[in-house]
Amino acid sequence: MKRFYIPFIIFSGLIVFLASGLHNDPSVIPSALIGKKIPEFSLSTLHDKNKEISSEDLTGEPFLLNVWATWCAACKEEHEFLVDIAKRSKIIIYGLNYKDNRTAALQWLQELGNPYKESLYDSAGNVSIDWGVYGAPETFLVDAQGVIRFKHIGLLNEEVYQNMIKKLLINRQE
Amino acid sequence: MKKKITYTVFSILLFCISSIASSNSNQLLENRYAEILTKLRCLVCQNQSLADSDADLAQDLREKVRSMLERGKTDEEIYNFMEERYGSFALYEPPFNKKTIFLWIAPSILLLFVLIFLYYRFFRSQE
Amino acid sequence: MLSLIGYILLCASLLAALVQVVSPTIGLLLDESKYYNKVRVFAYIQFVFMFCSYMALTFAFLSNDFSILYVANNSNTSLPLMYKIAAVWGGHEGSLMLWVLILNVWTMSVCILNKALSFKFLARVLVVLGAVSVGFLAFIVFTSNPFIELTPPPLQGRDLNPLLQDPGMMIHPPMLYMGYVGFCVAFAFSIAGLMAENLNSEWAEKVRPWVLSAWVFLTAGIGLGSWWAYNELGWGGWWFWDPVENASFMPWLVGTALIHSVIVTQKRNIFQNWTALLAIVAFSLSLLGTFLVRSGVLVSVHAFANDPERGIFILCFLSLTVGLSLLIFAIKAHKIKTKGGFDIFSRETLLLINNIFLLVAAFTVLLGTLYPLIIDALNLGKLSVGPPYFNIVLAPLILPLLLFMTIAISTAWKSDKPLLVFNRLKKIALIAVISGIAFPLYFYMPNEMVVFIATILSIWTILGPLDIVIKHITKNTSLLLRAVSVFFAHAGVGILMLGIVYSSYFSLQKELVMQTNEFVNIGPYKVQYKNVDLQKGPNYVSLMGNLDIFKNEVFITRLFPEKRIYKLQSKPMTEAAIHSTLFHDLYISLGEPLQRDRWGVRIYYKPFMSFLWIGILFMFVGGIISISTSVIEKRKIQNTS
Repeated sequence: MKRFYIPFIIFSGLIVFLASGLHNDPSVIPSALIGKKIPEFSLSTLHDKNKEISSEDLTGEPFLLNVWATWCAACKEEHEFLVDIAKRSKIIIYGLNYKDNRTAALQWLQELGNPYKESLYDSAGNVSIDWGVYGAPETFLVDAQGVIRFKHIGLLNEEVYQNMIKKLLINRQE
Repeated sequence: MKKKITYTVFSILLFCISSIASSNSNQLLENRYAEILTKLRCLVCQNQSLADSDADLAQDLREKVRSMLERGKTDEEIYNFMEERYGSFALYEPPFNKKTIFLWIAPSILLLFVLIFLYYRFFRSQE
Repeated sequence: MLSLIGYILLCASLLAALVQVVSPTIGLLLDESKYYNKVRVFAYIQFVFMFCSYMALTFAFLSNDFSILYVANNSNTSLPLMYKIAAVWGGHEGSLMLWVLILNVWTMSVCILNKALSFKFLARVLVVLGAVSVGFLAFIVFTSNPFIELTPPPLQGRDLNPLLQDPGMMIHPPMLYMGYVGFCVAFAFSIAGLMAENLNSEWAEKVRPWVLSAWVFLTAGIGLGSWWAYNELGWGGWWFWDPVENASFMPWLVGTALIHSVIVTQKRNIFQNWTALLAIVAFSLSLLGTFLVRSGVLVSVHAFANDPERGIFILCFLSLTVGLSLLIFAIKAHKIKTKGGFDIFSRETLLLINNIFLLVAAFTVLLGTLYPLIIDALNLGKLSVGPPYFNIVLAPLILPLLLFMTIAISTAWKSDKPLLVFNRLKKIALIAVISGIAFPLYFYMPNEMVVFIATILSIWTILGPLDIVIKHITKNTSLLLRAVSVFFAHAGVGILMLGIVYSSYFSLQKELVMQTNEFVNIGPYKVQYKNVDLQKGPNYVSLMGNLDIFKNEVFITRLFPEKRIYKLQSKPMTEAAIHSTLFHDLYISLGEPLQRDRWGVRIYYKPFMSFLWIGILFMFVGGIISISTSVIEKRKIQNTS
């Protein structure tokens, strides 16, 4: 007698899962590198072909790594905000120019402003693969020890930025 | 004379075998390449494998897989490479770990359970 | 004006549906027959209003009425006529209109074709059908209105997604919906039967043709979807275990189990609760599919614009409908008492085993589809469950099924002896084993054991029912027809399996850059690249490749793969060119151009692809013959009485 309730019970469980699923966005993929050290790499800068920057050069201070490109419409929107935070806060922002054209990229920064301490030029996209990049814009938060603490996919805005800073401060206190 | 002929025949045979083996190994590499691509998920066109996707990133990753194969990496190393950077999401074949053990085992356990249950219900109870 | 008319008709339809539900319910509760005797009338009224509303929407498309937002989003003045008709169901709102229209068609069919049903029973059935209709109509009216206006009306619409501008779009969705929605009838019959506490052999006989009809349409719908994907998508794939595909496959698996369960209930008056439960589960899976496609819960190429708000509505509707039916089942099922046993070696047992394997398979597909969602909901991260999982886990469930299928049709009802069955089948077993090993060995030299096993079992599945047809040639028409229907349906599965196994294991692929007059060998073919020219279509520009195909130095045909750029889209679309024969397909698609006369080309040699489509066609035919047999049998009984 009681066993006839089994289908109903199973179904109720299913509904609970489906309901909770409505809140998540299945297409956003969190970074697999959170809590790990930044990948080793060495890339030339955007402004100077002969100058190379390696992963070692970046450790010592916390920074943001912003993945951008001239072919990315959202990056243009985000750029103003980056220029803004570069002015008002002390945080260092490095740019990772992803699969782009050097001349076009330099022109872009000339026209729209340059919030980056340095821009790394990854035309082939290999270093970006090591960072788990799958599109632009993306922004990584790295702490002073060179460990990736946070990755934001999509446009950076005030809310996300404040969140990132909080995370960094919490880490400092620990 | 006999020695010369034997030697020639033997080296021709060896050459044939080695060329079959190497063309086979090329074909083997191609087969591995094709198979690995079907098991990796494209992160941009999220419902296609790396084999099917037209996205730029998919093209880059296909080249990466090919170069890794040519450098002698094993299938496992290639899957690990992708998983380290893009997470389990990138693998179409879910790994076998604590999180997925239910996924892999549930069907067979369910089958067994139902078969045994029905056996008892229909046939033992009739006695 | 048109949008207002359409909207009013839609609301009228909703009202009629409400009356269709409320009036008989009152009548049944108060036991006043006058409230439910004329219930058919409300169904007819609902249909008329819905049909007119749907036609209003279609007319809006045909007359390029861009003052309606939905039309502007999905159509264009240069869209060919037949695609304007198909565009009506190309988006979320319109596809729901089609859903309800088809539900109305099924409801009308029940009213017209089942004159023998008692008023009470018919009333119950129509209440259930009406309730589902109310749910969907309310969903449309309140959250997904296709008649919303766009002011000011633009001069030109967006366009129908070029991927959908294909003849496949004309038949695949309607067929699929006929199948999905069709199971609502069996669902309604089951609820009605449970409420009346009667799920006996007569009930089974009445519901059987409805189960078969829905199954036949669903089979065709799924088959057409695969065939369309194969021809249209450009890389030779035909099944991707995409969540929406799975959403149609699960009801199909459960529907197949239901067909066999209802046969047992009709024949031996047992498995009554089980059959009713299967019907409820089959339709619930259809509803679940509707939820998955439109709520944004899962990533899918088929998904309509994802809207969590709509998702909540559908989830509530799903919970209510299925939850209520399962409660009714829980409460009423114990009132159903059945008598009748069967031996451990009997057709009943084998059909029970059939059901078990099919349901575990359906469960597996559900688990694999929802697992990423479950893991995410438990905050354990993001996971992918793709084709490798489904292929690995389902193979050991499907292959044994093939084995049991032929044994079952050669086993008697109630009780049989294994030795007798073995004697009947030993010749076929021998032929299957010998040919199942010789054929692949000679032609393909496989190094996987599963190829041999699958080939043996497929031949076994084809020959078994054929043998029975031969034995029945001297018997009466009805029995012969039944045997023929079983042959087509079962052989179809075997043929399909051969198609799946051989195209999966023995396909060859070449991806390379070709220049003028260069040729490449693949399988038995030689492919020579000639050139690519520019062609113009009705609403696109095409880069059309010319490739000559040779076999044994003899010219066979010329293939024209294309890269199309539609007027309003920026991304080019690939149209593959296929040369298809019984035992293999040659499939070519264009890649990227490198220089003016050098193009990337993808060439696939795919054995046994035709077997896939033939197998599905056989299953479809088997279902049709079975329905016809039931109808003929019924006519005979009516004529003699």
